Amino acid sequence: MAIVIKLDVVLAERKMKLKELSEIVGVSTVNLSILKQGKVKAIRFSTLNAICSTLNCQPGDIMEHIDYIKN
Amino acid sequence: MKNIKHFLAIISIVLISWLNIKFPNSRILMVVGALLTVVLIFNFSIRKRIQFKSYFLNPWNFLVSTQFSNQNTEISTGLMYEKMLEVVRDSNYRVRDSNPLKKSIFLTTPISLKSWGKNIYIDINESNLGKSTIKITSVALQVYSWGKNQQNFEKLILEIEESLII
Repeated sequence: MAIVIKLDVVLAERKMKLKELSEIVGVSTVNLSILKQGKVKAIRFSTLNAICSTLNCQPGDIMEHIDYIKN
Repeated sequence: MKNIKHFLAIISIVLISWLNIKFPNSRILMVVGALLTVVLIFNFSIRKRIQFKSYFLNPWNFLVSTQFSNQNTEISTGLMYEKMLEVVRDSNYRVRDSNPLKKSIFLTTPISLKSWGKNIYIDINESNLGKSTIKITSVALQVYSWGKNQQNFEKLILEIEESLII
């Protein structure tokens, strides 16, 4: 996948646990764990907004697009 | 196997109908009818018990209609098991049994005017490192399913897909 999720990095910087974020944002820990692994199909703007508001960050801080080097 | 089952079911219905016309007062038909009723009642009485999973999933069980699907996911078995529990708890299925060690879930649908009720067995297995395969088997307590089983089945698969949009 070319989109890399860096939620764990931002969480570590904010010294926040996934469970705490889940309770504030209202998204289950299972869903956040799947998001953290970058294995969700899509993310809603409302979810992204809630995460960014809670973590006081930009969407680009929690996800990054990486171009794979072609052989 | 499914075609053989349907073929045998049709042959049985035709044979019983023919025998009923040919020998209207035959005791054999009454015995066959009584036996079928007993088996049907037996199936209904045990359908909510996980101990009878292998009985309902047996390919030689001619009185049930089964349908199965394998879904490959990139999510690990543990996480997928939790996810599946979340999905089914939000739906109208009733969780009868869930085993975190075997990563299996057993659901039932209620009996309604349109449906006799279904048993749904979900097994999550590890396919590759960190990936999983979900096997969903839907069992309807009737020889031939008229499409309701398929509808329920597709609805569950859609719910799983949609749950991955957070």
